Amino acid sequence: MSSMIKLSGVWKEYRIDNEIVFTALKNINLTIKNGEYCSIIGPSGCGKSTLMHLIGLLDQPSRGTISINDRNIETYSDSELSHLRNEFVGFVFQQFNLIPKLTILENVMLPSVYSKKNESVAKKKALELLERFGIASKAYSYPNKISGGQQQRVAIARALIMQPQLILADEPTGNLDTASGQAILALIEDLHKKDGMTVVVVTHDMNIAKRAKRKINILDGTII
Amino acid sequence: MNYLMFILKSAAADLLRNKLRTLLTSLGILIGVSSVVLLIAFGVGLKNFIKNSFDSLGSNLVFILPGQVLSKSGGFRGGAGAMTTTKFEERDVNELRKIDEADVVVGAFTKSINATAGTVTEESTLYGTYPEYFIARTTKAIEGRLFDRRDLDKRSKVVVIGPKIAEKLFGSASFSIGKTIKIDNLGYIVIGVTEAKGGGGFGGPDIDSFIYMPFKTAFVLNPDKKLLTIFLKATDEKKIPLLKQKITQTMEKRYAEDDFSVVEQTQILDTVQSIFTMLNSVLIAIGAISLIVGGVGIMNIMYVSVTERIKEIGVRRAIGATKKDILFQFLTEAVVLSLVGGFMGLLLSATVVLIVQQFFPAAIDATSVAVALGVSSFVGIVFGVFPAKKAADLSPIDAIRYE
Repeated sequence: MSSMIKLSGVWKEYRIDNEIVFTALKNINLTIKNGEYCSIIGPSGCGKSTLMHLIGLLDQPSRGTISINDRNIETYSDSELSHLRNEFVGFVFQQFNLIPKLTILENVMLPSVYSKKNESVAKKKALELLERFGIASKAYSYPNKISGGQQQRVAIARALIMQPQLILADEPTGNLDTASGQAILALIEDLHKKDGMTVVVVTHDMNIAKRAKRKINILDGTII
Repeated sequence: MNYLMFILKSAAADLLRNKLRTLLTSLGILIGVSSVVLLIAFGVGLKNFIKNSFDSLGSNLVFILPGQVLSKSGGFRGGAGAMTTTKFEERDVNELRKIDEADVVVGAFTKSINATAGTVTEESTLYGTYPEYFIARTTKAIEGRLFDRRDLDKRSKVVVIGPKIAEKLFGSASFSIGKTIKIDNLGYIVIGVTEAKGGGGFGGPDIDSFIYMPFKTAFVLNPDKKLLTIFLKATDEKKIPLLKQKITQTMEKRYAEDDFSVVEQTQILDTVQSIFTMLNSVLIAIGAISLIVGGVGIMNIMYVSVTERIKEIGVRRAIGATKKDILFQFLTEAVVLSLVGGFMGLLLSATVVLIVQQFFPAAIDATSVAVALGVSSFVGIVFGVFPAKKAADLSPIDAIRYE
């Protein structure tokens, strides 16, 4: 398997008046390969979310380099990073983060709007995803009219619309009851097993982390 | 979904979700746009009204007025130059009649008078003139007849009156014929009432309240038999410049250059209109201040909207929105918000104009509509750009972490 994401000597420091006040990540060296199913686990405040944000190209390291498919993204502009996020990563958040004023279908299609993809192709794809996740009947409803489990399915459908290489799930079951949580995990695992996608799940729950083929433990900003 | 449609739908959905806030924010633009549109409407109406009034007074007219009333640049001239004691004489009229380019030449003596009919007394302007005056100024009688050469030569004690003064003194035009009007205790028979010409508003002459008297009859009120104005009707519009030149040559034989002015009707019209345009522009500029106030309201509410939606901005950025996408989205919302106010302002102005049209010739034209929509879009862009930039400049990570 070729390396999809490579972090080399990555540090994340927070500064006030040029003085380091907090170091969230210390000298992280990590490679995630194509088609891997990883979990990043650690207690609250250990730096796992910071690591996820760096992998998801939402943040930049203070030191070190991040390479995506062997390309160093250090010199990428904000616009280039936005396009890369749009096409390369699919985010699944703990709080679903759907846009309340858009319908379920529009929420799923949203990334394709920013990529200015053909509308009818995107709509067909979105409806297929909603069908696959059993929520096609809710396509024209608004997020506040469906359950938490259904909202997370919509979020997963939105993450998949651009057919990204990487699915990044941040505590995807954190806001769900046990049954819905299990269903969502099964769905995410299916993306890895059936679709061969690279999946990274960030969690503090060992039972969830154990389901991944590779566990990355973080403590005090360091991979252990 | 098409990108632009999506942005517009998002903007509309957000504004509809906060209907009261949208309405209150748009109120500032509504007031601003309606003040500007109404002032333009009144300005346009006024201009049309003045033009129509001038048109109804006859075409191809050239006036000779005492003193220098117009400056070289065309504006009305004040001060000593405009003041004169010059009066013209009948022989000037006779000399001017020799000009080939003059179709009609007629002099007039004017005087402010009090006209009494029974117990009613009204202020009016007396026009001591010739029968040709009615030809030059295309004036017809709606009741009775106009005075003629015979009335002039016989010094008949008759008058032709305007429809407004007829109504004031006698109740109606038709009741006026054959009745007597007393001016300086002398009685004159009303033989005709002229058709309505308009005017009389905004400080201009109230032509419909004039009283016309044969020039020779008016000697009793004009003992030195002088003329205050001479009207010339050109044979052709194209010959007006040549006519003016010949008038000047003729008049300069007897008068100094500064003692008289040769003025075209269109020159007066242009001058009057330019004064009103300037006045209207000042008023519109004052009205535009309320647009700035409305724009500040939009800016304020857009800042609130950005703060309320920081998390949403973070999500959008996470799934691929660029800074430009976010900037465009918030800018569109500001413009839509402003346009809502613009449309409402336009509707309000149209309603007011419809009502006012019964008393005043206000008119909304394509310019007013373009100004209303253009100005509100402009206000939306100018005052929306700062909040939109704030939204676009948010770091994706800070925005998505925002609680």
